[in-house]
Amino acid sequence: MNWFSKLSVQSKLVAGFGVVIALLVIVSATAYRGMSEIQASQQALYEDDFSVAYDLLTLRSNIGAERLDVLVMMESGPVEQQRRLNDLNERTRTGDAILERLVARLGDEPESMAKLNELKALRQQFEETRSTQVVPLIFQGKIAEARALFMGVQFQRQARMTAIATDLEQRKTAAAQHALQRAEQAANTYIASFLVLGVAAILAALILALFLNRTLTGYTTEARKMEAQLKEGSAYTRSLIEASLDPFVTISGEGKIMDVNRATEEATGRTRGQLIGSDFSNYFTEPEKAREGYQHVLAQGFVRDYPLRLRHVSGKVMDVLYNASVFRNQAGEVLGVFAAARDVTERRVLEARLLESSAYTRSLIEASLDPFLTVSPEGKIMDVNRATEEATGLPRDQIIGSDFSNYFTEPDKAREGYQQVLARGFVRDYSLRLRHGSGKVMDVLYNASVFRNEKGEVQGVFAAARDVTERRVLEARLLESSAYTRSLIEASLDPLVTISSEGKIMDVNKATEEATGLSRDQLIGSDFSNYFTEADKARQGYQQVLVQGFVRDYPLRLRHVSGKITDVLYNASVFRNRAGEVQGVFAGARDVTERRVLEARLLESSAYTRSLIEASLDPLVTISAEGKIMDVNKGTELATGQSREILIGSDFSNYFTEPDKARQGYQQALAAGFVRDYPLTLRHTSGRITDVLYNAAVFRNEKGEVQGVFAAARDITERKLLEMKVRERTERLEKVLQEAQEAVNVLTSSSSEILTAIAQLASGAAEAATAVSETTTTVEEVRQTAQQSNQKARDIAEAGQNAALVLQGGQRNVESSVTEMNRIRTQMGSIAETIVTLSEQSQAIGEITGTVNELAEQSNLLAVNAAIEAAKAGEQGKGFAVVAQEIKSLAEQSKHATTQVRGLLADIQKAIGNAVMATEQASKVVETGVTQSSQAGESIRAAVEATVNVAHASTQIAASSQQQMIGVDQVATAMESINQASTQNAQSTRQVESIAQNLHELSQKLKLLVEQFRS
Amino acid sequence: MTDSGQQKSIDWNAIHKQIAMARQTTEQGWAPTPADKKRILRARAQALAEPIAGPAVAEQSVAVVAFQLAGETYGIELAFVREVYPLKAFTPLPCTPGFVLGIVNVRGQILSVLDLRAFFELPQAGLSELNKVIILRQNDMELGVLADAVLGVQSIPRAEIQPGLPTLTGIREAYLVGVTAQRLVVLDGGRILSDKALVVHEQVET
Repeated sequence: MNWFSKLSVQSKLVAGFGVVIALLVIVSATAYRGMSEIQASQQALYEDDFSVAYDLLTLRSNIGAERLDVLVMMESGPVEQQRRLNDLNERTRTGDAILERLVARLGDEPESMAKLNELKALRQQFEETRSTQVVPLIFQGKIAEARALFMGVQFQRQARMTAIATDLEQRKTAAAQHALQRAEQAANTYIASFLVLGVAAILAALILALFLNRTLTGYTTEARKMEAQLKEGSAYTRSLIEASLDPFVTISGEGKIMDVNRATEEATGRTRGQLIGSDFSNYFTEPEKAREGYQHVLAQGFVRDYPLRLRHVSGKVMDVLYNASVFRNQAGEVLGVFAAARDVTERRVLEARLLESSAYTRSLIEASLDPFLTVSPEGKIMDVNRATEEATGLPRDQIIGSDFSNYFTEPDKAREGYQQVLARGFVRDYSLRLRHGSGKVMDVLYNASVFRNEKGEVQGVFAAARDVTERRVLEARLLESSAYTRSLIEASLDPLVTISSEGKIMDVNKATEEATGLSRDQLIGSDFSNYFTEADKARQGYQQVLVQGFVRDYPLRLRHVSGKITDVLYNASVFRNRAGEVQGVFAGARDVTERRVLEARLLESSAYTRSLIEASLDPLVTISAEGKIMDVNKGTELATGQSREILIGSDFSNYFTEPDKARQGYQQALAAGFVRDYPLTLRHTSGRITDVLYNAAVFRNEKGEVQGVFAAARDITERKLLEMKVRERTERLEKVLQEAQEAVNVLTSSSSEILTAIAQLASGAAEAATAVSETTTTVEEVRQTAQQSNQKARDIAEAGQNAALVLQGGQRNVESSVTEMNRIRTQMGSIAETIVTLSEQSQAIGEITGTVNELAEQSNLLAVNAAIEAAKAGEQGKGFAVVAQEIKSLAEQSKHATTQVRGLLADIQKAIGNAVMATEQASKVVETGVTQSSQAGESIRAAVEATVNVAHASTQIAASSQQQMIGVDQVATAMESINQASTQNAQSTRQVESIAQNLHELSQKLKLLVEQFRS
Repeated sequence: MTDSGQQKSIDWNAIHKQIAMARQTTEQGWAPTPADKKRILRARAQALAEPIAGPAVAEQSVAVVAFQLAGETYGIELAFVREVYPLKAFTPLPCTPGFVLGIVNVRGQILSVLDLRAFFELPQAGLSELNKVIILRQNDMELGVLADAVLGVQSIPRAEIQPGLPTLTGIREAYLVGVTAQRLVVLDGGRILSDKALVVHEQVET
């Protein structure tokens, strides 16, 4: 058994089952064999022993029955005897068959066979005796003899046969019993072996079952152990889940809660029992969002930081972020969602703080006076502060999201600016010009830097601008003034130079370059004194300047590189820094070579101009751009009563009654370049007032820059007096003219009225003339119409007479046709009568033919009778028979003819019928025709009468229209005279009208003249 | 107008001519032309000139009076025929069998008339004039037989008469002599005359 225990469980099981199956097979085989053997022995028993025994029994009874038959035969009558004999023969045959069967069955048993043979022999003898002796004896009536024979030998034979049969039967019965015993024994044997084998199989099965049980128990224990471990593990996970402070929940695919942890219970305020199976989304303020959340998880497999608001039963709301993922079974099918929430309420608090602090920052930013803004990398404004709103003049909403560069006069530069910031990270004092909504421009300096998110990615640009407009203005002025000074210096024709205290040239102007023939670079830094013929004298000169602070008209001789020498007079002065320390010498040379010549000329010409100006009676004045008087002439002195010195440098506007107007005047001149007849009132120091008209124009220097205004005033005081006189005179004239105008007006209106009246008269006359003319035309038309109607009436009369003639002809025709019609009617009547007669006659013919037919028939009969008679007459009647035959044929012919005649007659009668019908219709038509033609005749007669009447009437019309025409002609003549008269009338009226028109025009002209004169 | 047009289309002259011709023929119709006369006489002469096959073979032929009855042609031996007579008026006779039509007066002699159709049990189909009577006679027995038409006397060779058709059974078979090739049924006049069935003995129960 050692080796067995070493086998694997599977092998043990296979072996065990194998043994059991083998045992079962053996048991089945044994059972089958035993059964089949028992069956075989049973069959043998039946086939051999029982059937043999049965046959022997039958044989025996047969023998008995035969004997009975014979006995009956002996006693009964012939019929019964015969019947019995048949029965006997039948039984004999049956017996033979049984015997043969027995021979076949017992062929292998010699002992039985011997007995059977004996039986057979006996039987043969018996049968023979019976059939040969007994039965004939019986039939012969020798009953006694037969009985003797039968009861003697036959009876012995029979007894013997019965004995043998009984013996054989007993033998077979014994054999059968023996066989039965054998079969029983075999059955017992088989049952025993079956039992043994069965028990063995059951035992083996039991052992196997026990073994299996043990094995399975082993497995189950292991499984239990594993389960316990699993449980432990899951309990651990569970405790972890339970221990978690975050609410955990698992949700089924349908959104139902499958499991929750302690934290969930706390968060919702519901017990686990309540939660499980309920809808997940119910516990949130936004169930839809919650549902979307877990559907998202189902779709994508997970979700992160999904924000939801968990609602406690007490109504308290908790902000949570859900992280969830699906969980699957081993097959990978999604079982549900595992969701973990995190309470972010605290985080919210932190966020709020952050917001607060950012709000603080924001307020700081907002409080700033500088425009702050943040720009996205795309250049869009993300945020601005209050100051920006003010600077741009736009509300915050509009600014945010708009393009940063739009708010500057130079958008490209602005764009460059923030791109620079993005590239470098910052920019400093980037100057831009901010445009206000109103169009005002503000100079700003931008300081900007990028700002980043937590990850360090650039989020945008934070820019702060500073308004530099005021500073700019100042700067601009400075620059302007310095440029001005510089330009002054440069513009100077005199060589100017600054020299340091060491005598070195610090700066020169253009003129110096020209004067020396050296470039500025060569000059600067070189020794001042080098460029003069007398260097010592030059050195002395500027030292003198340094000592004295200035020098005037210090004569020096400047040497050009070409060797040309220029006489110059130097004026120089020191210049100092703010601290008052001497920085150097500023020296201006004047070329006195040319000047000397020119000065004289200039002086001359200017004196001339001056004298001209001075000579002018009108006050002339030049005014600077600032409104200061730069120069005046004598006239001005006289007009103002002030000396030239006082006037020059004083404010121009001061000398007028309306200083503002004066100021406007010269500003206008500055703006427009000139002003004409600007009326002002000049005030003399004595208080006298002079009305002046100013004509002013700007004057420019060589470069075209406006230097000031040259204004010439004209005293208009006298002119005003003159104007006064003229006005008085005019007023008087006006009055006269007014009166004249009134008169003219009256005249004009009267003439206008006259004109209107005459015009009306003229138009009336014209209208009358037109009306007369129209009437004349109408009369003419009437005349023509009358003529036409006269003609028409005449035509009608003629036509009527013609029609009457035609109609009379028609009437005659109709009358003749009526006559004809009547004749036709008469003829039709005679035709009808003829046809009727014809019909009657044809009927008579029919009757006649009937008679003829009858005659023919009779002739035929007569002929037959004649033939009969002839036949009877025999030989003598033969000739007569021929005649009779001939008569018969004639009769037949005439009969045939009558048939033909009858047929023809039928046709004739049919034709006559048709003719009668046609005639009847024709006579009806003729009747209608007669009636209609009579009516036509009547109508035509009436038409003739009507036409004659019409002709008469139209003749009368023609006559009356002739008279009418004559009347109309007279009217036409009268109208013609009227027309002439009215035309003349209209003409004269027109003449009057033209005269009135002339008169009216004349008055109009007069009126116009007066008006012109007045104005 | 159409009427007058049609009238115009009729050729009156032709009509007049036609009528005249008709009148002429009508007038002439009763006197045949000499040519016609000649032709008729010639035909008659030829007919008369033909030898009569009768006398020499008198024993070999039989003369019969042929007549039509219900669409069939019958013949009765001349020996039994007295004469033929048109049926003019007959008196139906009560208490007689169906085949007895009635009695007729032939020149003062009263004869009974048989309807052979009923007598021969022929189907009473087809139109029949039945206006001729053939009067049979043998010895003292005389009676009339109705016929549709009498065709005349014919001479039939005896050889031509074939025995009656096997289809004819009953009463007809008994009165039949035979049938010729021309489907003329020769009746046995003697037998008809001597038939017992003709002896009428019927009484009307009063």
